[in-house]
This record gives sequence, C-alpha cells and structure tokens, in this order.
Amino acid sequence: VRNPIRTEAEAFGFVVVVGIVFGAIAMAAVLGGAAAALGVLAGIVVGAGAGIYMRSDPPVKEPAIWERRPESERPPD
Amino acid sequence: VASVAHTHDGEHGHHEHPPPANVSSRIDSRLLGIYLFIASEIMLFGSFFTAYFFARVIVPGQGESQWPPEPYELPVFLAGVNTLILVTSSFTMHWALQSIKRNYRAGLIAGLTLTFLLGLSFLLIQIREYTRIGFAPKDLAFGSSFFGLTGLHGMHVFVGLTLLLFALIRSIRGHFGPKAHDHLGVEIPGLYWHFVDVMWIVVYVTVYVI
Repeated sequence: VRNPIRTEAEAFGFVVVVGIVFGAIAMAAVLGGAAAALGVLAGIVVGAGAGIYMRSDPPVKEPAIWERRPESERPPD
Repeated sequence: VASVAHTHDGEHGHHEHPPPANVSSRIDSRLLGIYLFIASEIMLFGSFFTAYFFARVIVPGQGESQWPPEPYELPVFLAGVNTLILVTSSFTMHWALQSIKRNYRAGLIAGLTLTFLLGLSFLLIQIREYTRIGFAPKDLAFGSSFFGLTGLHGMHVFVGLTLLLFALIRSIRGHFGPKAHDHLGVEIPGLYWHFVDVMWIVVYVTVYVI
C-alpha cells in the first residue's frame, strides 16, 4: 500500500480531510447527541474502509519470491 | 584484542572503521526519522485516548449519564476558538512551504512567523484555560484523563513551536531554497505541525464536543 502522506502537501490535505470529517462528527454530536456522532463515525470508517479496499493495489501478476519455490522445497511455516 | 583484529583485517582485507550505515535510496533518512517519530507519537496518543475512554465509559459513575460529570464543565467555545487558530496555522504552514518552493522567501518567513504566532496563541489560551477551568488533575479520573490528554497535546505544540522557531531563524538567515532537498528543514517541521493539528482536532471533538 502506498504511503498516503509522503509530503507536507499531502499532510496538509490530510488535515483538511480530518477537519471536515471531525466537523461532521461534531455537528452530529451537537444536533443528535453522542449516539448520532458515533453513527456518523461508524459510517465514515466503513465508507473509508470500502474506499481504500476498492482503490487498493492492482492484482498481483506474479507470485512473490517466497512463493515461487515448489511446495516441497519451502520451509515450514 | 588488537592482534586478533589485526589478523582478522589481514585475512579479509577489512578496514578498521565500521562499515557505513545502510541508507535507503528511496527515502531520505531525515524524513524516515520524522515518520517513525510520528508513528511512535500516534501510539503514545493512542494510549492516552485509551485511558480517557476507559475513564469515560468503564469507570462507574463518571460517564454513564453525563460527561463531564457534575459539577464540572468544559469551555467548549474557547476550545473551539483554539481549534480554529490551530487549523489556520496549518494553512499558514502550507503557504510557507509553497512559498519557498516558488523561491518566494518573504512568503516563507511570513508563513512561518504567522504559524509560530498562531501556535503560541493556542498554547497561551490553553494555559489560561487551565488556570480557570475549575478542576484539577486530582479531581476524579475525569480530571486526570482530561489534563493528561490535553497536556500531552500541549507539550507537542511546544515541541512544534521549537521546531518552527528553528526553521524561522534559519529562513531569516537564508538557509532554504526551492529545490526539494534545500527546504527539508521546513518540510519536516511542517509534517510534525500537521500531525499536531490533526491530533488536536481529534482531541477537541472527542473530549470537548461529544
């Protein structure tokens, strides 16, 4: 997985995203209480997780180095 | 020992100096250092958050019906103003770095100065908040976890201000340039400052608002 914060500019973008996300959570807390805030948080976590999963690295085209040896020659797990 | 070392060197042709440290060709060691440092800081904050949520959720009679427990109150508005100050400082920090990337030195100095002053304002407001908040770390697990978490963050702001001050002094002396490796002394404090900012947003929402 690629490091999402490789530069100051990306870190700044992360600050903005966190500000928006936690602003939404704070708004939900003020309007609907802690339960609503937790609901928004859970929704964001699930949404972000799904987004990361959908945008994950492309499928592996060749096996990793340690998987290329025949099973009989591999060290025990 | 010397004779053994001499024999060893003679056999294998080694020098007496230790081998050079392995350096990654993909990432600058200073950047790697700040990433590892921030990773350890995230774990440290994680432990404090764990203590805070334990005090709030698990400890009987504290967070079951009302948080903060009566008769204590948290200065939500003042801390909100402080949050705006700190978020604004991230913008000025970003502007400072963008300025030096464009070789605009006055923008760099102005950005760093503003960031430093905003961070200092945050810290002074937090100290004033502590003196008038009406409870102390000894008041229940609530007081301990509140001062522990916000105080830990305050110390990080202080460290960030120190880094910013060094960067500001160096920028006034003309140490930085537009090339990527010529302004690492600004970029690394910038990364740290953004981390401190993100942590405060999380602290503010979880401790003061929710």
